[in-house]
Amino acid sequence: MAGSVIVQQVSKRFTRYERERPHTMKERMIQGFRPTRILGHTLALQDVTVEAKAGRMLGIVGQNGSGKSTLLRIVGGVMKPDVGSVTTTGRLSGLLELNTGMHPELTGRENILIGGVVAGLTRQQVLKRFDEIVAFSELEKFIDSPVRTYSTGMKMRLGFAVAINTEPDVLLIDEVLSVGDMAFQAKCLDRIRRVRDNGCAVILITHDLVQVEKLCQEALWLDGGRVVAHGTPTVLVGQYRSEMARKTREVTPPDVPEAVASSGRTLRINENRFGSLELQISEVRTESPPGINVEEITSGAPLRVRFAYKGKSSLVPVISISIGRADGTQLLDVNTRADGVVVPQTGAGQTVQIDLDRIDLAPGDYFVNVGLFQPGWEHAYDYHWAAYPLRIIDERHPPGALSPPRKWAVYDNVGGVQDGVRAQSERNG
Amino acid sequence: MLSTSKFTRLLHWKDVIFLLVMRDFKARYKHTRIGMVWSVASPVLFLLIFYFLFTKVINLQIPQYATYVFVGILAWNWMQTALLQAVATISGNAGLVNQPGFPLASLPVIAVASAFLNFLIALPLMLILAWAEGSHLSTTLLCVPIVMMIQFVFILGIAYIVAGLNVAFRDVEQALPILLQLGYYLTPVFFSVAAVPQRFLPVFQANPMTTLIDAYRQVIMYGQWPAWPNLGAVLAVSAALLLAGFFYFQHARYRFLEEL
Repeated sequence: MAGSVIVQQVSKRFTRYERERPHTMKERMIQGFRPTRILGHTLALQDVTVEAKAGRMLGIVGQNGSGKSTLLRIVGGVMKPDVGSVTTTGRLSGLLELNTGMHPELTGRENILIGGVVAGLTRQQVLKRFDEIVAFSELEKFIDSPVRTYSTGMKMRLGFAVAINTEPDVLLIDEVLSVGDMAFQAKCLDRIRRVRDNGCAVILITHDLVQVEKLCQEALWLDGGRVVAHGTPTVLVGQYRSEMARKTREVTPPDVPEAVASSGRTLRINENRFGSLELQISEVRTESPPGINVEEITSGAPLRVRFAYKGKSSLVPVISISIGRADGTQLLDVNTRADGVVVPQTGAGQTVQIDLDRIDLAPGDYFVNVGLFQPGWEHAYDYHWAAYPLRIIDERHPPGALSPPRKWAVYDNVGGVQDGVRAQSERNG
Repeated sequence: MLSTSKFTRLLHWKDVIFLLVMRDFKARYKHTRIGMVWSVASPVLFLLIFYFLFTKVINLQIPQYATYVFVGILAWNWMQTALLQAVATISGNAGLVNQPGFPLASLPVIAVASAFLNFLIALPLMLILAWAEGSHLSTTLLCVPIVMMIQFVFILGIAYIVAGLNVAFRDVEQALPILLQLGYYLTPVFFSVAAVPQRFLPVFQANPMTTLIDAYRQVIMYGQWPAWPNLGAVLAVSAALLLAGFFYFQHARYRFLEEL
């Protein structure tokens, strides 16, 4: 296994039509029979040159519509470039849309065969890998039941197991890693790493910048079909993040009156509040125990963060909650996308609540930050930063960042554990 | 795109076609009580209606009418079922269009082959019917596979074209059932071209389905060898359609993803 992809000066142009094209006779009758006019063209990719090498993973970042998927399609051979060339060596496989071609009425066994040939293997090749696929999916017990009886997670596991076990030389991955349970996700990532280390060239499209930093050896940043930057993931992700922050300032409306946060602090735009304010956060509460609003907790206590938001009803934000210091260090940074939480359309307004079972931070002054982001992380809708203070107290004041519950034991070298306890101290937050 | 040999690619096509035809077949009758009997039920019901109408209500005076009309129904149904499935091949399978390594052009073949299975299942019944109505089944039956092959090529050529056209004009999907229904009445499925007035005759004779259905009747019912020149002409036209259709399909397939 040693694949590679060389993309040379690829450009691709799409045709834009006047409106949604009528797709049925009825729509056409309603709109009249005049032909749909061509509005113009969109350059989906402009002069893109990049290489995916054997044994390396290339991460592609960019906003929605930046040309990432188009590039992946061209590399996958399902679309042809207008200009430029793509040279692929080795067998190519895609983790793009899972379960394509599978049928819910058929059994897992039958669907593995179908999924395998749809992914480009011959029947013989699928049969050779069959046991491995079943083992990877962890569906041994259900393999002869119809896929219709599977849960969403099980279906995903089946689809992923088929796709990853095709032993590709070139693997294309489009965002599929953001679904499924954490344990299986970790297993998939591990498998992808192994495939890569065996000499497969991997191209990964993702919105998860941490994934790019952790998994990729190279990164490409696309914007409007052009390459903005191409290089080391850590450097590129840093640039990408600061560009996002700049975009957020750009879309932030001017002349927003100051607001008073529930903590009593004043929210000032571009100071401790950022975003387009298409959605607005209010009534942020930090509760411990649940129901009682506090600004001070003991280390190890539970914390509930709760807030409401409303605004443009059609938006579906990514909700982020973090705990950090005034200097910007984040100690906890979680969001609904990474945790696989389904967020409904905003509608008339929503209330968010997250329960953190224990806050095992070292004592000190922290802030709880809450934010609503555009699903592609392009900009913030509303982000309250350093507006909700949280003081953590602990009578022992250990330095460092963490203060988890702990047990000490110091044993005699000779006596062993049973009788040699000379000193022990226990603390349970 | 795949660095596999031509042979492996051919093998892959075969596996894709075989497995997806089986998928469609299994899935179609999964929860039915009588399973594949359904694939025979529809042509048989049409047979009964036509038999009643055109021997009892209006007598068309066609000998061995049950076999005569059953041959027409089966041959036409094959085309109709195949085309109605094939038309949405590209527009209805976005997932597969996006799938690297998947030979999308195999889907129309699958549509034609799936519908052909129905024909095959009903074939024994047709032969029994012919025997019961007194046809002397002879060695000309050996030509049945040849006629089927030519019809396969003909349907497949049209299948590629309608699937390709449906990308730019979704109307094709709407118009096709209507056109097929109209075609049913302009093809000698339940009547005979002998009854068609002389001046309209060329229109009927230009219809490849007329030639194909006539050929089936000749070799099954009358023990005659088919009209080879006519069949040859249909094959030539079908092969040309197939070639043009295939390239048009590939063109449309790439265009499908480019329209915003």
